[in-house]
Order: sequence, then C-alpha cells, then structure tokens
Amino acid sequence: MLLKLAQPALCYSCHKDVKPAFSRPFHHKVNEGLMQCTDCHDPHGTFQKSMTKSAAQDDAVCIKCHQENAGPFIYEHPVVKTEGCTFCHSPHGSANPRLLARNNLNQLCLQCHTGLKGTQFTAGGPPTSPVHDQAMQYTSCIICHSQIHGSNVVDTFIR
Amino acid sequence: MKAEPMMTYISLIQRSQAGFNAWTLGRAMQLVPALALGIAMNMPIVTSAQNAPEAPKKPGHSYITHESIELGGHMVDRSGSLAMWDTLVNVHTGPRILSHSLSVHSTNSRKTPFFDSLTTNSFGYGGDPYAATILRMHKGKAYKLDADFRRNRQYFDYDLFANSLVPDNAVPFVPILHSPHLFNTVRMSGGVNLTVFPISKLSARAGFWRTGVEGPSFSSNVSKSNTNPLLDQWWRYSDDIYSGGVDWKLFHKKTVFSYDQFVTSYKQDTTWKLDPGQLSFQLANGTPVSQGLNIFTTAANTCLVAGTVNTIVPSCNGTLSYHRNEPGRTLLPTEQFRFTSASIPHVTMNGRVLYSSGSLELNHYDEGYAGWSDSTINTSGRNIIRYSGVGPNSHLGSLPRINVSADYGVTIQIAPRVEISDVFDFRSFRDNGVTQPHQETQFGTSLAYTSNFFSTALCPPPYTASTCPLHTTKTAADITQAHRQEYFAQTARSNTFIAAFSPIEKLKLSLGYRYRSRSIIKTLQSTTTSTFTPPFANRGNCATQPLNSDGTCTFTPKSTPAIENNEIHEHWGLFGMAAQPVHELSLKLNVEAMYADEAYTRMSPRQLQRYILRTIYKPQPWMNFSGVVNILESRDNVQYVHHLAHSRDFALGASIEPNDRWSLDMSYAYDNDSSHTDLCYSSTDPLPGTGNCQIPGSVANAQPFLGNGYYNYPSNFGSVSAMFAPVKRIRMHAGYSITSSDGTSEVLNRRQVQGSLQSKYQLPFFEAAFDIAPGWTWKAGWNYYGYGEGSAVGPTLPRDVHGNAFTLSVRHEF
Repeated sequence: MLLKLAQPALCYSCHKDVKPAFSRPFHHKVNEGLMQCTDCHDPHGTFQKSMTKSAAQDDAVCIKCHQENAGPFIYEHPVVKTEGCTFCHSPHGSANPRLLARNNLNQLCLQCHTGLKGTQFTAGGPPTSPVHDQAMQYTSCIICHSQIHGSNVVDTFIR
Repeated sequence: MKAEPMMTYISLIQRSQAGFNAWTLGRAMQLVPALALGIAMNMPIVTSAQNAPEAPKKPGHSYITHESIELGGHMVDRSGSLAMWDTLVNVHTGPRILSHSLSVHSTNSRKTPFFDSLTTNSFGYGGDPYAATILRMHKGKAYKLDADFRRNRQYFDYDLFANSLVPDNAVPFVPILHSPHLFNTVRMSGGVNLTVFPISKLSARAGFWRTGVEGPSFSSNVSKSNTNPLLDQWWRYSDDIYSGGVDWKLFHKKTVFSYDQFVTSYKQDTTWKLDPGQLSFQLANGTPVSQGLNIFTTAANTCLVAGTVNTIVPSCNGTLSYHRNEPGRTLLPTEQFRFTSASIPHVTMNGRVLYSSGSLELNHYDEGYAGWSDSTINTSGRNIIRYSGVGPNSHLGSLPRINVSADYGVTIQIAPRVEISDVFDFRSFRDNGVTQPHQETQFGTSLAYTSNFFSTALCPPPYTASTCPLHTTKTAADITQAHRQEYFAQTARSNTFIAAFSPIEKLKLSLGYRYRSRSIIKTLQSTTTSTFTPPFANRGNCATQPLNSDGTCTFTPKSTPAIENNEIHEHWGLFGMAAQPVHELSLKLNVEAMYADEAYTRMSPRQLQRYILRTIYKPQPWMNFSGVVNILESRDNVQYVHHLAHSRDFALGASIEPNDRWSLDMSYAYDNDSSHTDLCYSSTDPLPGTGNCQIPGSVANAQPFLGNGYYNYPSNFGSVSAMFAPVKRIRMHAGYSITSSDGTSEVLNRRQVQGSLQSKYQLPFFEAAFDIAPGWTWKAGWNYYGYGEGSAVGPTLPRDVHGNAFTLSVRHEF
C-alpha cells in the first residue's frame, strides 16, 4: 500500500490519545496484528462519525464480526440500534470486561432503567425499571436478561 | 458445606486445555529449543562477508521470488489465575509456524499471463490464539485480487462478570468461581475481493466475505423456576456476504459512478441446554436437580433435606431439564449507488444512496423446561412447559427489515482562500416483526409430582379422574397462543454546513453549523389466546366464558397497541483551525458544541462539547514529537437525572529514528472517564448513607434507594520501546508498557469489588535477531504479561496473573 509506516504505528503517530486503549486489559487485538485500524475506519473519509465504515447493509461496522449482536431481532433492545454499540461499549479497549463502559454492569443498566413510564427523563417513556434486589444473589442483570442485545422470543430479553 | 460449582462444563473446557498443556509442555520444552537450535546448528558457519542473502530465484526467468518462513515456538511460565491468563493472553507452550511470507514479482509481464505480483503473509499458525493470512495479487491493468483469512480463539472467564456473588451464609453455600458467561469460541473470517480492469473506464468487482463462530460457552436464563439455571450454550452461526459492483469513470476519470449489490446471508444455529454440572442436587428418589446459580436460603429455611448434603426438598424450586433451539435465517439484499466528481472546476462532490430490504425467518423453534416453580400467579406450580411455533415447521415468526440511506456532500472553492461545504445525511431503518409463540404447560405440586396434560381419554367428564390435570380455580391457562407484532423504526436527518477561510497561507479557519433530527417510533400490538382445560375450565379470564364442546374454554382479549414516538432535534456549532506557524510545527484544533431539545435515554446528552487539539513538531525528518488533548463533556442535567459525564485524554509522544542502527519511541497518556447519574434501586441490605429516591414512581416501582451512578476511571499509560542494531547481523528490540488505573464506581452490593477498574497491566518485552548465515536468522523473544488488581478479590477466585512467554525461532529466507 506504499504506506510510510505499517499500521497501527502510522495511525498512532498522530492519534496518541487512542493508542493507550489498545494496551488496556480488554481490547481489540490491533497490536497483536489480528485487526487493523482500517478494518473499522476509512482514513480517506466516510459519512459516518469518526470515519467508521459501515457493514454491507449499512449497519454499524461492528457487526461485520459481531453479527450475533446485530440481529435483526423480533424484539430489539432499542438503544443498540438508535444510540449504537458505543453507547455501552468502549470499542478500542477498556479496563472493564467485554469492553463495557462500566465495571458494574448493573450500574450501566440502572442509569437508563430508573423510573417509570411516562416520566420526563426519557423522551418517550420506557424503559421501565427493574425491581430486583441489588443486595441479593440476582446481582447481575444479565444473569436473567442474557439476550440483552435482542431476542426473538420475549421482549424482556430473558430467553 | 460446599458443593462443586459448575463442575462438568468448566472441567470440559479446562480439561481439554490442560491436556493440551500437558502434551505441549513436556514435548515442546524439548521441541522448541531443539527446533530452533537444531536448525541453527545445521547452518553453515559463515563470516560477515557471507552475510549477503542469496540471489533470488527466478523460475523461468520471469519471476523474482522471495520467501521466508519462521519456525519455532513458545515456552510459557505462568503463575496466578489460568482463567485470566487465557482471557488476556491465551498464549501457551508449543511449537508454532510463527510467520511465513512469499512475494513473487514478474520481471517481464509479457511472459507472465496470470499475474505480475503476488504477495502473501501469514502468522500465528500451530496454536496461537490469533492467526491470519493475507494475499495480494494483480496483473497489470487486468485485475487485482485481495484475500485474507483470520482465526482467533476467544476465551473469556473474568469471574466477576455476570457473577451472582453468592453470600457465604447461603445454605448450601455454592460459590460461583467462574463467570456464568464464560466462553471459549473460535471466530474464523475471511474473504476475497476481485477487481477486473481496475484502472479502466469501466471496471467490475466481485467479492465474498464469511464470518463463522463456533464453540461452547456458559449462559443463563430466568427459566420458570426462578433459580437461574446455568446453561451450556453452543455457539454456531455464520454470516456470508456476497458482493458485486461496477465503476464507470467519466470525464478524464474525474467523475466516477459506482453500483454495488450485496447479499448478506446470516444463519443462526446456536443452541442452549441445561449444564449437566448444574444437576449436582437430587430428589430423594435420585432424580438429578439443578438449583441454579442463585441458591440462597438460610439455615432456618433451607431446601436441603435435613442430614443430607445434596438432597432437595421437593417443594423447593428447581430445574430438571431445559433446552432451546431457535434457528434463524436472515437474508439481506442491499443495493448501493455512489458517485464522486471533481469534473466541475472548484467543485467536488460525492454521494450515495443505499437500499436494503430483507427478512429474518424463524422456523423449527423448540424450547422445553421441566422442573417446578411455585409461581405466585398459580396455586399449582408449573412443572413442564413446552414452547414452539405454529404449523408443520414450528414457525415462530418473521421480521421484514428495510434500511434506506442517502448522503450527499459538496465542497465549493468560491475564492482562492475561501471554500464552503455542505453534507446532507439521511438514514432510516424499520423492522416489522411478527411472532406467534405457542406454549403448553403442565402443572403440579412439587418437583416430584407432575400431572398429565388434558385429553378426553385421560380426563373424561366430570373431570374428576386421578389422571386429570392438577388444577385449582386459580391455575393459569394450559395453552397460550400469542400473536405479537412489533414495529420499530428510526429516521435520522442531518445537514452540516461549513465555511472555511485561509487568512494567511499557513492558517485555515472554519466555522460551521449542523442540524440533526431523529424520529424514533416503536409500537407493540399483542394478543394472546388462552385455553383453559378441565378441571375448572371456567377459571381466570374464562370464568364467564362459554365452554367448548370438549370441555375446554378459550379466551381472546382485545388488544390495544402500545405506541412510543420520540422526536429529537440537535443543533451543533463547529469550529476548526489548522495552522503551521513554522515548517516543523503543525496544529489542528476542532471544537464542537451541541444542544438537543430532548434525550432518548437518560444517558443521551442534551448538551455536549468536544475539544480536540493535535499537534506535531518535527524538527528533523527522523524526529517526531506529538501531543493530543481530547476532551468530551456531555450532560443530561435535568431534574431526577443529573447525568454528567466527561472523557478527558492528554497524550504525548516522541519518536526518534535517526538511522538504521537505533530508534526510540515513547508515549505517555492520562485518560479520565467519569460520569454521574441519579439512579434508583431496590435492596434489602442498603449500604450506610444510602439516600431515599425521590424520583416519581420509584417507590411504587420498588426502587426506594437513591444511587449516584458514580464511575471514575483515571488511567495512566506509559510505553517506551527501543531498537538497537550494533552491527548489521544483530538487531535488538526492547520495550515496556504499563496501564495503571485506580478507578472507583458506586457500590450497590456490599460484596461488589472494583476488580479490573483498579488494576495494573504491564507488558515488557525483548526481542533479538541474529543473522547466522545468508538467509538464516536466529531469533529469541521474551514477553512478560503482568495483571494485578488493587481491590479485594471478592467472593470468587483471585484474578491476578503474571507469566513469561519465551519464543525461540529460526527464520529462513529463500
């Protein structure tokens, strides 16, 4: 490709703020050589934020590898489609498992799932809030809501 | 008393790996050095004068061929958590094909009809977690072909993830020592792209890309037993993308029209079943029972039969079996038209229109549960539940989906130093899914008793036979047939206008405005027909309904659609500056500020500011200093939400490479991600100082306690690497990087620990390469991986791990 440097070193030479993410405990395997920056970004420009590419059907580029989380599902977790994967995940790397934006998954869930339908904190109403006891053994939301990206069976994503 | 948690499946995964290690450690400790040194010992002894590589081969005098292969292996010495080693590193002892490369270049293209150039590079085969091969080839103006293949093993067992943190006063106490969502899957992806006549006026291309994932993992669900059984999930899905397209270049190739067709075929064949290791309890008659991940009773209210260690009282909830097969087939054809043009003087344009219409089809749906749950809506608990679709193919549902996108961008140079640009972007999707799940339930009184499903043969009038289903006047419906239609759509439009001005030659300023709107619609219409069988068929919703001829009763309620409609309007101000005050120094500054009149979620910002400053100072061509400040501030700071978040990154770097003898690269970065959001939750054991939630509806919704959703992740990153080649035949490369974090987040459960949020991850390394003969290089490498947490371990296994991975190899070029 006649590049002055190989990836990712060429990209890191300007994007010093991005380089640390790929040395965090959980990260996409760019330094290891499995992935390249250009797998997700087009340095010459796209119509997407951060010059990210799109999947074939114009979904987020993430689903090129993570199709299982993209659906389409009969019951979509709406934010996956409307706010995007990066609403809950740090795509380059994270201190938190599964590249999550929080170390406590329940906190991530509760930040949206607080309050009741019809109040003013969300534009439209839902989500409603969970009632599960945070002190008891049901501490992890995804123990029950294991199909959190979407489900074809139930709208509560428990199966 | 302790029971062995999740024994079978964990054992299955780790036994196979342990077996692999046992074989490799013994064999490879001999094989790896022997392989590397043995090959080296057989090399001719050379002097430095012999160091020049052999002349490349020229098969048929038409090609110049270079090939190299690196053989060797790893020796790994690890201490600490094997689960975390495999999660973070997953490198193990054993021989490897560390790399291979081949390049073939034509010396006379008239004599090489098939290709002028072919290059391929591979690494990681033989057992490394990541392996890849890349192939590039072309033939003059005729074609170019790119292909690649990647394989990676994904092992994940961060034991705090999805862990129920079972308290140690549970009876029986069954700690969860591995993540209930552990997985050990392999992802393989690869594809090929062929372009014919790539630089002609009319060129065509075709491609294929496939991703496949397969392997075991744990999963869980709530089932109907309220015990969250651990499941074995066997991942199996594939995604095939076929593509074809043409480019038509006009007006001296300054305008290009492109058409593409993509067909995406996604096959989902993942299955779930109860983990056999979960059947660690039994009924008195010996029937195995799973008590799930959430065993938590007290000594005064135990499910154990007195005097036993694993015999369950049959009136306790439990799971006897579970399985789910839900194959899905998705076909998504997509058409795309694009153009770019620079044919009009001072005007550049590009645009795109995309239309994708496809559907998901769900057939052969099969799900079954056996166990017992004293569900509060029944006086009889549920024993057996069968789920299916309708019709001969057990059709669960289908989901048509349409994506439409259109983009247009234009830049006009209206004066030598003034240009304006406008970008319009339209994106929309709509899903319209319909499902028809069918459910049949058999009721009972305990884990040890299951009544029959109704039939007139087993339960004739007056429905008092002992073989009749076990019903009371409050028992739920025996059969439900639902029809659910969910519509979900978003339409987003944005327009960005920017005016740029260069007051002096080395300075460019830009000012812009962006408007973005989103419309999100979600509707759900659901109707469930319930069938109540004798005895007591006139119960529940059928209490006043007429009976059918067979004594059953059917009730179909009227349904009312639930509709959500959201409109969000955003206004953005944009500012940019690019300056080069001196030849060696360049600066770029971008500032964005956004205001939105509404937020779709509580964490979606209503106000946002982003500041990005990038600077590069290059006093010599071989010396580069750079710095970045990247700050994002976002807020949804309204009553009852108070969401405040920021991400502040500061990074510095230096790269010095004066000659081939040595180079130095250094980086330092401080990042801080922090947020705060009011949240409410339920707890029977709130921590001291927990406030009362005042958010409307929170108490009624059993969320009486107020949390602040605090999350703070300050992280320091430093890295240094140096290359040193004292003589031409010897090269050394050493480095060190560390990521250190001392973050904190709000604790909602007193058994919760911060885990990896307070951790240090260190990665020093050293590599040496010695040219021992023309075309032969002996290489040695050392990598250290150190992961340590600063917080308490929590009610699970320690996660700290560190280890050395030594790599010895010989590389041969020919």
